[in-house]
Amino acid sequence: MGPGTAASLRRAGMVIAATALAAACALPAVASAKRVEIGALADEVRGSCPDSCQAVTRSTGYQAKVGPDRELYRAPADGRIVAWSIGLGKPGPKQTKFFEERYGGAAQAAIVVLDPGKKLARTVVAKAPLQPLAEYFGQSVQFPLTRTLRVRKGQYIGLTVPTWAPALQIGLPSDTSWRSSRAKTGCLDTTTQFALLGTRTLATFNCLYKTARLTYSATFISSPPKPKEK
Amino acid sequence: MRRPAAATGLVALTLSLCVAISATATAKVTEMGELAADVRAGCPDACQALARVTGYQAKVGPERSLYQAPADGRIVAWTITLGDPITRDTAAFQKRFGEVSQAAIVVLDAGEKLSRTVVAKAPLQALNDYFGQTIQFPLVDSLAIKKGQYIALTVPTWAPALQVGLGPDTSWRSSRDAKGCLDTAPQFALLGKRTSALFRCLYKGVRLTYSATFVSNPTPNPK
Repeated sequence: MGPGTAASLRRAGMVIAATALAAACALPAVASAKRVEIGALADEVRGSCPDSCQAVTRSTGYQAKVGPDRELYRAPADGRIVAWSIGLGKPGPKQTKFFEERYGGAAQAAIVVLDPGKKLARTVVAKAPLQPLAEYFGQSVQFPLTRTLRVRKGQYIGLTVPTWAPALQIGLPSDTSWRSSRAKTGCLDTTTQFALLGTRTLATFNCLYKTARLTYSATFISSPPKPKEK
Repeated sequence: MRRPAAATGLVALTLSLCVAISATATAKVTEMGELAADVRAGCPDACQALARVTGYQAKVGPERSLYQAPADGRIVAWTITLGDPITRDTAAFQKRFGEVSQAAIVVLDAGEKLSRTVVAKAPLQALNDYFGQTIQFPLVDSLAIKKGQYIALTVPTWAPALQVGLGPDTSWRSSRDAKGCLDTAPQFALLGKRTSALFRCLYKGVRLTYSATFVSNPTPNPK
């Protein structure tokens, strides 16, 4: 064995000296930072199409609860979102045509980071580029981000859909629910554009939809701990 | 459930009730060169450091492709297991190779024989504050990587990231000149305009204690 530095340092006797001083010392091998799938999708989680075909449309949403768990879509620490995944249903051609004609064209979505304000106010503080989805229908697909997104502990990961996306799992128990950026008076208004896009970055997420799950997740890596001050 | 009318699909619903979902999972997160719990950099015991060089792990036991991308995709983070040199060793490394221990992950494209060219690189990361830890650094800008390209570690100063005393079937390669594989004084790290080198120097019985988090690009449905 002859790794670079080793040779010259060994010649200088330095390695030997160090070894003697620290013999029997175990390394405090702390593993800091970790990778977590925020809202990890089990294998069976997919958008419902073609059967019972429903889609998310013209809104920004986040999963508020999955069963008893309210924190699944909140960052567990400061870090970065490095990729996101979506379990897409597979609408048939007529279903696709219907959605495209009604909601402004091809299916697309983007992951966003939402900062929680008072009550249910949420502000977009980071967003990924919009991703066309049509060529991935029927897949659980993961998109690595070219520019990763900064996220702080407690912020939400949301899904912005300016057109439509077959990314709703329905028929779940009533303790599973998602919230949308739609106006409180129009929770069932799917034609008005409520997606947080462009200069529109703030909404109150009053609309709650029970028994449904948005089929997305995000790959999170926590930031390394800040160095101790010396 | 208060159904968003986008629940809309009701019209289309009846049209294709019996079509099964072909639920294929595409793209996945892989740790290239994953560091097992028993991987430890040598310091403070048998303290050695990587210095002024770019290197990649050529083999870990019988495995030759641990540090080669399994598909086209992106590197989104990297991890390094750092030894914890004692003060006197740190001072010696600093005097010889530079005050700040630092490293960066790079993507190497494989050319003929052992020629390798840097095609993407992450920013240098100061390491002193993390000695004794296994630490993961998420990248602000992920790195594009193509199938078969290597993930390597560039160390312009020094880094306690060598596990020594392993079997001879574990080895790494460096960018040093073939005539000076043990010469740690010149700068051989691929930095700045210097992006290409022949990786002829092979060091057996040693592992560079780094890994990279890889996400493959998604695969569209066939048309």
